[in-house]
Amino acid sequence: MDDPDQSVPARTVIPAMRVVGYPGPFSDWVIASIAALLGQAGHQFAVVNDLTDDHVGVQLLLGLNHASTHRDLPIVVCLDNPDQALQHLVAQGGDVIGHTRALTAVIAGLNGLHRRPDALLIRPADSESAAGRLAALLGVGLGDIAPPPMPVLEITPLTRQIADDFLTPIVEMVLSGTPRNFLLPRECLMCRTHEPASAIVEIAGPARPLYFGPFFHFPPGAWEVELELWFSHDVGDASFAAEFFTGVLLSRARMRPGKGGWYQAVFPVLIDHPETPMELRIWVERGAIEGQMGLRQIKFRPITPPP
Amino acid sequence: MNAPFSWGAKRRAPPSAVPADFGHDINDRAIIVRDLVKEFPTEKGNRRILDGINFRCGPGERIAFLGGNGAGKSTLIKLMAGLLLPTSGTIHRGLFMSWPLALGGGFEGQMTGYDNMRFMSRIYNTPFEKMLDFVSDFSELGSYIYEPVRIYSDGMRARLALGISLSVDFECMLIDEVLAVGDKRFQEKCYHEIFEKRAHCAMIMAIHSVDAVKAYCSQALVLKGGRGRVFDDVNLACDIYATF
Repeated sequence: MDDPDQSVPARTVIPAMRVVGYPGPFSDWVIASIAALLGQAGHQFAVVNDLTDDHVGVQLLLGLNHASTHRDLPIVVCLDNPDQALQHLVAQGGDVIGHTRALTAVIAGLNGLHRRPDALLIRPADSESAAGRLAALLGVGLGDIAPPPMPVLEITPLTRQIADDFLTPIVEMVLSGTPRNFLLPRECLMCRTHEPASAIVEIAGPARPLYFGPFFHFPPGAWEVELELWFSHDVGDASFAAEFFTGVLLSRARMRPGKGGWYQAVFPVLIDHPETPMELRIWVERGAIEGQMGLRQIKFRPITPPP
Repeated sequence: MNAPFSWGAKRRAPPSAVPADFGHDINDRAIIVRDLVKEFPTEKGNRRILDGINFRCGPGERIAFLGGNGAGKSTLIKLMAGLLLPTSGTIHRGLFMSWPLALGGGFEGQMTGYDNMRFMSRIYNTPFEKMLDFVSDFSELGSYIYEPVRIYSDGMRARLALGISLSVDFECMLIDEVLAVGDKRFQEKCYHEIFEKRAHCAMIMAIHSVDAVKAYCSQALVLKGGRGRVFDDVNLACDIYATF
């Protein structure tokens, strides 16, 4: 008969946890580190998309749908640098705008997760201390594990622009809770033919959107949007409208330049549903027979409430 | 104003644009309009109705003028017919051009339809019997041909004028919203006479019917704000006009 007092190496079940972040080498690195720590401690684990009761579940989440169903689980929020994350996705194939859209969905899905007491936020700058922090969260010893090296990708110019102008400010905004200015690159929009937006478009044609997109998830809050526009001398009496649309019209500005030159259109937009992708449309409101329009940049500034 | 070429974008010619600078010589067998401007004096100064219009229409080609009310379509037709003089610009009439079809303003009201026809046949050197036979059949005026024109209704006057117009062998037809004259059966007869039996003629027409433009025209001049632009893509021109 076996001695019931003798300890048997048990495969201890550790409650599941969630790992939230962009798909890519940094998330892979964090998961590999977790796997290494657990393996070293002799624990069973599995990387699963859905949690089970018997295993350590490591779940990589994109967007809000999964996060909202497992509120009580410890969370590791691992956020790669946006340029690396975007470049990784671009390297897998597909267009950079679609991948940017996916990243904005992840950012929107954080929804304050990183501020929870049981959350651990890991950035690439924290990688040296990450293993120790993960070990503490898992309740295992650090040992002498050597997490695998994390690749650093070469960033293309468009990826750099989108990351620097748009993604990085938004990530910093979400993590710090402090609104800040950011730019939406024109290259994220599309023209009527579903091609990437060009600097100059022909106004001549029927009433239609000249620019539209990008269906990104924008950070919540009250924003002042500034469009920097150019019109050719033969714009005539053409009138234009800029709209923010999420299935409902959030904000609209109308413009009638009257003559050629540079213009700024400044108008507010309130974003209170960051989980819904948002579209910017710039229309020519009536048929036109001549004229050109250019879009240089779209700037978002937080609206500061009065004291 | 300089375009922002520093953005690296190339300024391309818009699609379907007909170059305005088409040269011609005095023997060019076409109707050619260059830099046409028409202003009218008003109490507040001159009002520019047409501002630099350019187009060309040769044998077998049909160009439609599209534009909202007051865009200058009828003014342009009258300029083509010589009923108005341009403020500046040129109109080269290299084809034997009609007056605006169904224009009944040139009739002598005391004369009968018959006598007006005799007068017109002499001016345009058209055999009278040929004109009489055609107009009698086409206009469906019956015995009213022998009545003074002053007692005709507007529709009867338009049918007489249209019939006389079609009986002369014009090389270029000017049409100003005349196709709505008469009942449906008469309109179908007009379409057959104009667009099928005279397919070899050049036609310059101001019409509101987008379906007729798409069906019968090879070009469209879209007028807006005094400016005009010719589109070879008639469907595009109609789409632009439809969203005015």
